[in-house]
Amino acid sequence: MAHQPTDADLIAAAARGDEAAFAALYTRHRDFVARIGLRFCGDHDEALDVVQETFAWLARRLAGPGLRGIGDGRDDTARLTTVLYPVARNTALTLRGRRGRMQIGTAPDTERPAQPAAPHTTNLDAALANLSEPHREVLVLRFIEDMTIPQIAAALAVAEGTVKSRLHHALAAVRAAGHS
Amino acid sequence: MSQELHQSDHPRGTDPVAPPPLAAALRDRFGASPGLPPHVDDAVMSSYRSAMAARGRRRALVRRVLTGGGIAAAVALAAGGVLWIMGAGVFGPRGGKTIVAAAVTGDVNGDGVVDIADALLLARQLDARQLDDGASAAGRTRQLDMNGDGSIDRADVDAIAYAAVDLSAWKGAS
Repeated sequence: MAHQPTDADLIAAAARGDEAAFAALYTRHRDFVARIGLRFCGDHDEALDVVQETFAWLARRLAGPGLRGIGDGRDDTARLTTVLYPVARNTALTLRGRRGRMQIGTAPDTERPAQPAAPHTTNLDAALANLSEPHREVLVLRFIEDMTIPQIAAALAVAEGTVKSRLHHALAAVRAAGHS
Repeated sequence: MSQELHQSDHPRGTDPVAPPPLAAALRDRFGASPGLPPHVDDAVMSSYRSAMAARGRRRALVRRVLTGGGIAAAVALAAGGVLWIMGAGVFGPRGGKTIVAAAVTGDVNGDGVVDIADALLLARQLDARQLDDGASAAGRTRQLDMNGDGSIDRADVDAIAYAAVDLSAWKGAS
């Protein structure tokens, strides 16, 4: 089985000017960034702008000071998502703020499947809609993006205990909705 | 359903696992990803190439600055040294004056010692063609013709300079 290069491998190579390595990083993480853009902007075109801006930022970092802790040999297990997430989110929020949209935390209606919600998800949808943004954010990062608690903590720049606490409360709210 | 929500959220290590209904709801609500058209891919790769090209230009500029800076620093150091030494002549006891007969051969400024200030003062006065003032040609030649070739020129400046610097100390140190 072929060796799958880690993010750290690819970042180190891309920082040396290996365009194929950067392309591999982009391919690996573009959907992740696009989902963040869509989630926070709620607009398809703005989500594409978020992708471009985020990876342009990454390119500048690789050509300049590099990424602290990733690709510098200090942590070969670090994932680029922990670095890209705050950049993409802040870019998305900036775009959203600039254009005056207020659709935080909800995917646009045009992007969601036009199908009636299944009965068993109705209460869940309501519970998710009622969650605070920080609580919803950890749910999404954990269960959609499959990030570990340490990775979520790094991405959000909060303590791991904070992530665990938010997850606990978010799941409790979902359970409560399940009982109703 | 509530049982389903409870059954899978037990921690696996430190990371909880999503109950299937929750995972489905989250995917439905937040898992959508916009299709990325080719022009976005092209723009991203273009930004990488631009960033790397800009880095190449920055590095070339830094190399030029360092190289040019090294030369400039050497020139400034040399000029500073010359000015310092010339300052010794200008502000010294006989600064600005024309060479007069010196008791010690090579003692251009007449302070009793032959040092680098004498070499620089002689060089300055050679440049200014001030050697005719204050001393007879014969006496001047006797006092300042360090190498004994019958004339006072840059070779004498060098000879004074060499005399002023104790090279044996450097040789011994090496």
